[in-house]
This record gives sequence, C-alpha cells and structure tokens, in this order.
Amino acid sequence: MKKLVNDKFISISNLAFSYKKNDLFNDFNLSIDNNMFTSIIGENGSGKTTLTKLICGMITPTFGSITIENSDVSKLNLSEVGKVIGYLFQNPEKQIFGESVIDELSFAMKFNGISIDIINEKVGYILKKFDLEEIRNQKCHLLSHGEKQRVALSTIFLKNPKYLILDEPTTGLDMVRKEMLFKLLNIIKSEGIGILMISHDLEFVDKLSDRIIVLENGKVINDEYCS
Amino acid sequence: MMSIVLKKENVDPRVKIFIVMCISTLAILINDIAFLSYVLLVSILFTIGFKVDLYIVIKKFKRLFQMIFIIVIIQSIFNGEGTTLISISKVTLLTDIGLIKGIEYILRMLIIISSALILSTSSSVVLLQGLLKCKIPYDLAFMVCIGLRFIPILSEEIKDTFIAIQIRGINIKKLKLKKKLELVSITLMPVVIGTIDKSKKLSASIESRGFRRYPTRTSIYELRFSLKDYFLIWIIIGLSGLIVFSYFK
Repeated sequence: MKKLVNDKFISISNLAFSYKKNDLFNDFNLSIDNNMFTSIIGENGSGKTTLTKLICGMITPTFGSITIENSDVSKLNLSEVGKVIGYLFQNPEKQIFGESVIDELSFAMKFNGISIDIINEKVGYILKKFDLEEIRNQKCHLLSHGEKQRVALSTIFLKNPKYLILDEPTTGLDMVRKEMLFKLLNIIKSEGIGILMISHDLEFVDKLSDRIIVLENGKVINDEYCS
Repeated sequence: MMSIVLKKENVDPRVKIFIVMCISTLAILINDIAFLSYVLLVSILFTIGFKVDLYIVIKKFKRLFQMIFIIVIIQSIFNGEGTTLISISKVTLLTDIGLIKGIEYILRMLIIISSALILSTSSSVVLLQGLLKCKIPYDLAFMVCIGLRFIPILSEEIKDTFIAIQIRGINIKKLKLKKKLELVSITLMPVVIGTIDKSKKLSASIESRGFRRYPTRTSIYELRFSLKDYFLIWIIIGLSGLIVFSYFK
C-alpha cells in the first residue's frame, strides 16, 4: 500500500464531490487529529454525512484525496477501513444483523474466522462494558432505539477501532439515554480513542468536543478548538 | 374543475405502456434468435428515443448481467436435447439446442429490462394517470406505481446493508462460497423485514389520508394524445406487425 507523508489521522485535500450535477464539495481541505473529540455541525444538506461517507470510502470523490493514517482511502476496501474506523450509522437498525444481542456481537467475528473461545471472551467483556448483560438474549428487533444504538456501538468496539465516526448518535434518544451515551463517550474518549461526531444537538456537542467544525454548503465556515 | 395538461412529459404514458405491451408480447411469442434480436433492437431504439442513458444502466446492472450470463450457462449445460457440442467422457455439457435456448433467454431478459427502462422514463404520478386512462382499476394501478417507486429504495437499502457489513471489517470478496451464502441469507432478512415494515407504514399513511374514501377520484393532471403520440403508436404497430408477419410467414 502506498504511504503518503502526513502526520494527521484523517487528511482531506482538494476534495470535490457532487450529487448528480449539484456540487457539494469543491476544493475542500480538512485535517483531523487522533485522540481528539471532533464534532461537525451544520444545517441539513450541508454535507456532514456525505463527508463521513467519503472519509470511509463508502462513496467515491470526483476529485481529491483522503488519507487515513497516511493510507489513501481509494486504495483500501471498506473492510480494511472498517478495521481502523468504527462507523455508527444514524439509524442503528442499518447495522444490526444478528437475531439476538449475543448473535449480533459475535456476527462479524464469526465471519472473520475467529475461534469460539476468543469470541466468548470478547463478547463477555463488551457486554459488561456497555451494560448489556441484562438484554444479552433479547431479540434485536424488540429492543428500544437507545438499546439498539448501544448494541451497534458495542459491536464497533469488538474490533478495537482506532477511531470512531458517529452519525447523529443522539437522534431519537430521551434525556436519560442521552446521559448514558454521554458517559459512554466520555469513557471512550478517556481511553484515547479519537471520535468524529456529527450532531444537531449543540448542548451535547459543547459538552464533549475538543474541536467544533461548522459546515455550510460543503464549506467549513468555522473551525474552533475548545478549551 | 380546472385541469392541468402535463407538459413535462414528452410522450403520453399510455403510448409507453402500449409500446412495452407490444415488445413484451413479441418476446414471449417468438422463439427464434434472429427475430428476438430484431425485437431487442426495436426496444433499444425506443429506449434511446426516450433518452435513457444506456451507459449508466449498463454500469448499474453490471452484476445483474453477470448473473443472467451464469444462469444461461447453467441452463445450456443442463439441457440434454440436441447435438452434443461439449462433453466430458459420457457426460454432455453443452448441446446446440441448449446454447440456442440460453441465447434466447439472454435476449428475452434484455428485452424485459429495456421495457422496464421505457416505463421508468415516466414519473409514477403520470404513469398512474396513464394506467387509469387504460381502464385499469385504481387500486391495481396505484399498487403498480408504488411498486415501481419502491424498486430504487429497495436497491439502495441492499447497497447500504452490504456497506454496513463491510465497514464492520468483513471482506465479502474473501469469504468462501458457503460463508457468502450464509451472509446473504442473514443480511437479506433485515431488508425483507424493513420492506414489509415500510409497506405497513405506507398503507397506514395512505389510509389515514382518505385513500378510497370516495368511489371516484379526481386528479389535477390530464393526459392528452398529441400527434407525436399517434405517430409512435403507428410506428410500433407497424414494426410489431412486420416482425409477426415475417416470423409466421
């Protein structure tokens, strides 16, 4: 794999992307450090989700380059990106495939040929860490939105990602669930895992972020480091 | 009530429905490679005429074409009739009739795809009006249009599902066939459940908006045949007649 010289975790340079004929990003540049909680805020349609999808290689830019840990994303396949970055979709149902919570947690490991002993050990650890032991045998489709999100987030952690991308994680959560998510993200942050979060919840963003980026029509209109 | 004559649509949807009806009937009726090729040519010409970007279609349906090709090979291999073309010891792998049937299958599939493309050039609202004018019961016409509207949504959902799997670190390409099939069977379940759920919500939504509350339904759209429409109808009748006459001669 061709390595590019860059000390940032995620580096975007001269990015261009358009939906059909509508230009969204044009000559877009951004660098994101690891070990930092970065939030992207902006109006609907400003390009927040598209940007994260471009970072992960889910969609291809028309021009420019994106690197993760100095590796060109266009040269990586999605599973390779997935081993470094954990991606939480806005709708957690999109990434839940197992019948029960236990099935869901062991899903990816089973397909990656990991032995049952290791799977059991890792799943046990994650169940404790994410407070999922009570619902371990429950059917996933019967879980509440908050529980589904916790399960989706916990599955990401099984592969020990170096970085997390969260697409509007507070959507549909009540105050109690939001508080739980806040505590969980704080723990993750304290473990030194970098997070990039998209959110409309300004209070939540303000409490957690080390850096806040404001997007408007595919352009960064404000980029601030919080004290 | 004031009505609006649709100006955006170049061709009346009834004409498109009639063209598709003629083309698909010919595809079923004819059992000859040469004549099926003529039908395909006619359907492609209409598809281009209705400004379908064939390059994008080919790119989008690349996997489907690969699947059709594999089915054709399997169909050809397991067809025992005719003279053997390829065999391993005493096991016949390919016969001339098997090959012909395979090619005919490809041509029919391509005709069906191009027919669908012709219909896709009309919006679902306009198509619904067209079907109603053809005296198709409203419930049935509505179902057809909703179905057409949901195809891209369903395909997007399947695409998203496979993205979600891969971003979890599973390299689908490197999985063994057995594991691949297992993965597909597991992952298609949420898609099917999601589709059923969506249809239930849609049904509740249209019922709550008074769907079928009254026996008749008015529309702000009005369809009118233009000279161009009559011209196209006569063209397809002429071409279909010519193909049928030559085939049964």
